[in-house]
Amino acid sequence: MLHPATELRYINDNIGYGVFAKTFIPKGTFLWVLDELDKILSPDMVRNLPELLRNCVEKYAYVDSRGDYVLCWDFGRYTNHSCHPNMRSLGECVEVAVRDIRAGEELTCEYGVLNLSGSFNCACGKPNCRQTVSAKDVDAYWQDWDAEVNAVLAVIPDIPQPLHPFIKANVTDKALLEAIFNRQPVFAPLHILSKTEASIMPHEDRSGDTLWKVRDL
Amino acid sequence: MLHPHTRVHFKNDLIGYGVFATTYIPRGTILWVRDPLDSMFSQAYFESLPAHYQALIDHYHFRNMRGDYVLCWDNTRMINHSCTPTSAGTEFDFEIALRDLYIGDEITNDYALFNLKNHESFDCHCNESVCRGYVCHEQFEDSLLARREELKNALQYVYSVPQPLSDLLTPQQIENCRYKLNSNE
Repeated sequence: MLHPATELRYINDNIGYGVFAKTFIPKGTFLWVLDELDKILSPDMVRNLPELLRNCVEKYAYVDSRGDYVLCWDFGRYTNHSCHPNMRSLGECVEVAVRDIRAGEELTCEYGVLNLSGSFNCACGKPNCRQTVSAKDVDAYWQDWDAEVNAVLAVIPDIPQPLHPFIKANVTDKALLEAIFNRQPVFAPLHILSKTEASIMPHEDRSGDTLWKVRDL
Repeated sequence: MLHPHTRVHFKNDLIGYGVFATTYIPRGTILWVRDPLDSMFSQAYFESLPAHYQALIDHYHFRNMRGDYVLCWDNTRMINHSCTPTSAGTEFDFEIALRDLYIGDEITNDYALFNLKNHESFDCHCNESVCRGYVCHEQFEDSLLARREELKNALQYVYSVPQPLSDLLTPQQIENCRYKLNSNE
């Protein structure tokens, strides 16, 4: 579920929709959380959908660490990628603002952590644009990405978090959030989908694609 | 699923978002089909949810003829009410364009057909010449008669216009609908 102070706008035919801030949103704010209304679809369910719907799921859903498709029920599914995004993954159920966001600014996230099956060409125009974005990027950049999240952890308990009651967290994420709100030290990986050698193990899903599973912390 | 040649945009603070045609969509075009990604909840399940989730669903659902809550997975839930709707047929699990839609025309429903509860009556701002001023459950019978007459007319064109959603429903569903309309069920 997206932060309530956001709106959907159609950008252009190339990019499609985007999500924009309606007011100033301070860094450390939860901008998106996984909630009870988001649809979790197994690869089998997706394969058995009529083609029209399967195409929609492949376009708008992301793949989680178990290899399931997550289709956001609200405008969260229209959040675009940027190589310099203003939100990043905090565990598997929260996207947190890593910068202050001004009214009218587009909310962007990092698609590299979403278990992409292939790659796509990025035209985000940021100085650090990687041109091509794929799941492999996590290996190269996860430390930089986690550092940005680490830098805002301390303010999370001090600012309004309207999405907090809606979070649907697994055991690992519950422990992570509890530690953050109790101001206890948190250990990597914050990007639960990060493919660090130490924290993940590969497994095969039923379609034969290699996916990445996070070992319980 | 909503017709692919539609777009959501923000109208104003009072009404919020609306759904608009991005191409010419002729009368008789199937605009929506209920699909396996839509969520359905019984009244009992709805009441078992925490209040903050009930409020979310309350805002975006419609209630079908069986009284179940339907939460469409896509932008169908942004379709606004109009006292002269451009789309109808929800009770048959699909909707049809009641008149020709041009680029920028809004897709609208008559909310009086959605089993409104007393507290769900609302003032209407559709500004149509026939605007009823408010919408409530007491208008159900009149609305049903009016929309079914329009639906019957629109159904005549269903096989002669492009149907991008045709893979999501069977010809039997359409014929069932036609049969029920003709026999006034």
